[in-house]
Amino acid sequence: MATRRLKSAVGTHRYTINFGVAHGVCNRSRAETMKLQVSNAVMKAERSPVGDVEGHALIFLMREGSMRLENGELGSMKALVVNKTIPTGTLFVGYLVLTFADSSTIVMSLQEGKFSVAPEGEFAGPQEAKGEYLVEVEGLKGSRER
Amino acid sequence: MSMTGKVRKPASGEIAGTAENDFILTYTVPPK
Repeated sequence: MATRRLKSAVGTHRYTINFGVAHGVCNRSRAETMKLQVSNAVMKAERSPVGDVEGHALIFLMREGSMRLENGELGSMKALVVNKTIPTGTLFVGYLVLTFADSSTIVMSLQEGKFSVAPEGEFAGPQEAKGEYLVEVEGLKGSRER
Repeated sequence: MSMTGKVRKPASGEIAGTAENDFILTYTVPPK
């Protein structure tokens, strides 16, 4: 496990991210959630058609943007994603790096991501995914702990 | 962690559009 400090409405706390292997280590721990919003744009992209049917392709994307936590803290995000596109939508996997104002980072994997193409409207479609924490180290980057 | 979001249609010449995402991170807080 690794920790980082987060400022909340009631002060600064040191939270422990549960990587899944720590279940039962401390039975008095409590689960909490943190919500954040991210706006991002594509900084690098490469599309390679598979060649079997039209619209079937693999796309590598690097997205970068800003994030805002529910407590008002600001930060940045970077995502490295591989998309498998078909005419009706996209499946994706990848990695997400959240960097907070104090330079601490959270690295997560994106799994089972889905993106559906909307037939009309401003947006190309909704997307959803789940993830798993890979590393979360206070003030450090590049380390890995599981 | 769970993520939802919307992706804008890419502009002409772009491979993918900008995105707006909402994340919910779940973690445990150790006892004081």
